[in-house]
Amino acid sequence: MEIIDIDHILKLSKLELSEEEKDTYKHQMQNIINWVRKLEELKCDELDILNLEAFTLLREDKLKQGLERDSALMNAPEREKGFFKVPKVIESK
Amino acid sequence: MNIYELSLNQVSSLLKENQVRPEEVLDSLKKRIEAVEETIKSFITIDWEHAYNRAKELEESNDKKGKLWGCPVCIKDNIITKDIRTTAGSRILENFIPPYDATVIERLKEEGAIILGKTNLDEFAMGSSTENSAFFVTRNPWNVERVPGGSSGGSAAAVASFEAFGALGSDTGGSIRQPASFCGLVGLNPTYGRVSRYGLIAFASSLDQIGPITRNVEDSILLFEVISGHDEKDSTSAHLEKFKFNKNKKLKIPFSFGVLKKNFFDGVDYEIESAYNEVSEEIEKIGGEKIEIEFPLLDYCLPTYYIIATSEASSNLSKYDGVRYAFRHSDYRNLEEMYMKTRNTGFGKEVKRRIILGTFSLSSGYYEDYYLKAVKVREMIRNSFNEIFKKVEVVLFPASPEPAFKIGEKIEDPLKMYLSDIFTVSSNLASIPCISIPVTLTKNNLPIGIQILADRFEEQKLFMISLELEKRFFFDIKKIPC
Repeated sequence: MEIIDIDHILKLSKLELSEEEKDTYKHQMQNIINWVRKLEELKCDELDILNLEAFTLLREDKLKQGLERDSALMNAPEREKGFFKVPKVIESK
Repeated sequence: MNIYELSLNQVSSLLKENQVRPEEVLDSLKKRIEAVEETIKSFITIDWEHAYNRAKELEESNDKKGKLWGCPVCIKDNIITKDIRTTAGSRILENFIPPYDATVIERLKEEGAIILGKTNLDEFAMGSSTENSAFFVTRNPWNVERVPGGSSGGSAAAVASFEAFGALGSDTGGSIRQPASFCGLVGLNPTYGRVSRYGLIAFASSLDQIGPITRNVEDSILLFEVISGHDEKDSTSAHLEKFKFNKNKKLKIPFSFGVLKKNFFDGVDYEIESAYNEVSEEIEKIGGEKIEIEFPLLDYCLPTYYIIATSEASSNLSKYDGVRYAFRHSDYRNLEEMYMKTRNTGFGKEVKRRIILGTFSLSSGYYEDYYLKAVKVREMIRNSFNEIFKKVEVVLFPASPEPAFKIGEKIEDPLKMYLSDIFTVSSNLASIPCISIPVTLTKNNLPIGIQILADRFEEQKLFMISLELEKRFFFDIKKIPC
């Protein structure tokens, strides 16, 4: 039985939960994961994942008019001089 | 007869023949919406100003070539509409105004449609009852204590309560067909790739499809003809022309159709099972030959679906980081905190649950046992359907194991809610088209829908059989209590 490391998953998914919420989610997730393990009953090792019915469609690499800068920025919570404004990304030591 | 009671085809004909004007149609809908919307709560946004301006514009141009000239249509609020707020039922997009139209919206407008309003949904289309909307709960017009189904519950409730002639929804695991069946409507989930997903706010990209929800089959055909066809802006769009229904094509008699064996109905409401059997008998009367199909993978469809859908969702929803789409938490000290607080406040419980499940399935050490395994099982499911369609033309499934359930009944137990999708997810996993049509009412006056599934790109077949069944199973939707 998998024991979910909820803190690790939250870190990966950029989410925070209160301790109480963590317990609730962990319990619900455990139930869902146990249910999903039903798939273990099926043997499908011989299926070659690379030969599945998938293909890549590429179109000709032609330049087209994209969104105008103002339109792209119109929903930004913060913007400055035609750019999205965000907190400092590279921390100084 | 009120204008709002007409079908989409009827109102379109009257508009073309100058019997009514677009503004009059809007007036009639407005009266209806004012009367019932407070109870039903189908809409997140109604843009009357936009709609009346558009009606005026159409009247002035007087070029009535469009198939939907002057017809108001409602849109699930996860399909983006230029200059009309689009929320996906989430706080994180509460004030998002799209700068462009989804391809389906462009196509509706090209045919002269008026975009009237944006309908309520489970947040990011994640749910089966519309109770997961961040804004409010939508009620089922047949019984306001019950859910309209989900995730396209707002679209279904609007069409069923005569607030709309027709609407668009989206279907990832049954989100068009299950609400259609709960509300006594026709819901089409087209073949994956038939309708462009450009401008649909993504939940699970390999499963999502846009489709119509209408009061009859002809209206479903009309909307599907308008929105279908190749779109170069969507790399998964099939290289096919717009769908055109061939009225002269007749069903080849006899044709074989597949039904589920009795043991598949364990845990299914007996009224649904008997409706299913009745539909099967009627298909035999129109020249069908019944074949019981082997589908041992049915029990594996739901876990497969929930792993694939949540994995894709965890990836798709990583774009909501507080940088681009309207909402950013106001209190943060650094970039990491901005991400965390924005996503925490912006996303609701079910969306977080699915992001967590998807992140877990894709995480190092679990990827092979969960995500990769689900992808392989999905392939087995697809192969299984390929084999089934070598033997039969179409397959019958119930739309749901039960009719519309009570508001609040399943909301605290996610697994119980997930199980209500048992009969709908398999067609999404196999990328095949599927239609749900209303066939009867339970003794408590709740609609029951039955699904017909066909092989890829065989929508013509689905419509031909649905039109036949509609003649035999028509029930008067006007008896709707609200």
